[in-house]
Amino acid sequence: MSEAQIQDTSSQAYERIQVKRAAGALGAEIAGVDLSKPLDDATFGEIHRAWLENNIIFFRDQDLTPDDHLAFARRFGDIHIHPFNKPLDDHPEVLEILKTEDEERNNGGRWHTDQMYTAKPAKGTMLYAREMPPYGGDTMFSNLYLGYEALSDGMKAMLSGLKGINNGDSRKHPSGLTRMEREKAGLGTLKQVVPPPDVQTISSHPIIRTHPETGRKALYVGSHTERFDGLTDEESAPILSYLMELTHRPEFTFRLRWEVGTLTLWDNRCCQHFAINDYTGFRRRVHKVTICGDTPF
Amino acid sequence: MPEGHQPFDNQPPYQTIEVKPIAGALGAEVLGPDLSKPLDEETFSEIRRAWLENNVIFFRGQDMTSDQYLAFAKRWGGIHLHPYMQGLPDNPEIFEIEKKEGDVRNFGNRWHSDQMFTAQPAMGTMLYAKELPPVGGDTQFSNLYLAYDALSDGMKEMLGRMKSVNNGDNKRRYGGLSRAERYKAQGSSMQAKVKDPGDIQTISEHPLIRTHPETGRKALYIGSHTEKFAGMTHEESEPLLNFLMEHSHRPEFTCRFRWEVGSLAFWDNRCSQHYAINDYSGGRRMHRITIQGDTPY
Repeated sequence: MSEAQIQDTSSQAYERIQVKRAAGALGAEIAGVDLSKPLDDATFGEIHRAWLENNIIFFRDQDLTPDDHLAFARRFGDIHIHPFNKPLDDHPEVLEILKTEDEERNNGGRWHTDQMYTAKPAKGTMLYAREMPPYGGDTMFSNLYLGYEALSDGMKAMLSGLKGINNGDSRKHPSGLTRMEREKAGLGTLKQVVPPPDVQTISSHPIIRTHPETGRKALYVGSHTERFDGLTDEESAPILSYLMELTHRPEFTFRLRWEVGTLTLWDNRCCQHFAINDYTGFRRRVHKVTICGDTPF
Repeated sequence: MPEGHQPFDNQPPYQTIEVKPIAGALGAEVLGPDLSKPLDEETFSEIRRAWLENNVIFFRGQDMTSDQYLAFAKRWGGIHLHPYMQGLPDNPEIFEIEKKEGDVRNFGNRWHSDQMFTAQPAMGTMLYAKELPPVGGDTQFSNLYLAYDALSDGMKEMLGRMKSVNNGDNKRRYGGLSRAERYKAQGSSMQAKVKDPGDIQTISEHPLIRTHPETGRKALYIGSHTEKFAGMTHEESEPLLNFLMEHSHRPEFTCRFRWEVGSLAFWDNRCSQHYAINDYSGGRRMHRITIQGDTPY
């Protein structure tokens, strides 16, 4: 087993912001920025670079309206609309993820990358904490560049020709039910909508993905990946479960502890995340905005 | 309160210490005590209660000599010596774990419970941070009570009749290499500390479902030293063992501790696993003391 190849990719110094790495694998806190105010291009450029270098960045103590949140997200690109989840009535580009004191299930409690089942998966996700339990409700992240780099040359070669079939509404969900069936059975976590007919929710993408901005290769799998394109479920299962296990080895991960006012931005092209459901009895509410991405290659 | 931190019935609030959980599953920071000084009975008994309720507790900013550290450890019981690893020349009850600049491997990056391969595994482990890298080198913990609780009734019943075989020098897991050969092959600076265990039992059978002698709670007692189930072949054991290992460190059952110089962690090996994350390049030195335990039942 090879070790994590931790790279210090911070080629240049930062002048507008402070960047404090939070784990060996990925994750950095950005300080010195008030996101409720418009950012000049130099500051934005440094934030963008810190994001590409650290896969996930986070800002503490931000005080943002949904419009502030959206304005910052739009600096990165257009807003991606979730095909299945119902947004806020007054802000159709913002999803509210709420778990109340009385609910047991949470949203996102599997290792995944956001909406990788669409033709052009969201490139980034911005999550903003509005209410938090006193402890618990952390999010874990894993670095998919490191997942790729840990593979043997033979495995890299084998996987390089393969595509994954990613399904946004698979009955392979642990419940065996579709999203609507779960909602009707009272097992849902967020209000569901029927995806628009032109939105693709089963998509085939390369298992080894090249990041369009960094040029680095990543092992592009997540819980939506149900099999390899052209292979059967049975043939796919052993390799897929090995790859899923590999992607979240502790050496490749970072765990974020939220506070009210924390905003995170992660890069779905090179990381997975997992929302930990360990706070039953407490309320947790976050706002999610996702940014449009391109076709994986 | 999430079910991980299970408080004892009818306990008054803590009087002498403050206890702050760091995750829903397990782990709490204990604020107040200066461990370099002798603790009165009331403070000590509250620390014990916090330890039993939270599986692992953390103290920050401690400044102790080795003698003061040992004095605190001896409040909990006799000192357990590692069968394979030598202690400090002048303080053999303290085992120094070090990853130096240039070392590729670290010590303990498997999910495990300390010395569960011995007949009477260490009850608890104290780790005191002397030197740390600027980023990385966190330790993850998992709650084996929760892992047990989450199993189906059928699985609990089946496992309740089984024993595990735990091996302190399991060559199958390390490409046929013994501990000594492995450290040598890796050029690890730990190789100088490996010793012959002599007459000490280093392959031990223990119940897979263990009852904690102090809390009475049941735990799924497995770790990376578990090589198979008693009475079965390795091949027969592997699928179930893989499932149980993966299950035992589901994110919902874990916490992650970020160290500072002067942090002391103390965990209960009877109901938790831990994993030392190897995501940094050298310069981490910890002092470890393990406390004697009893025969698992």
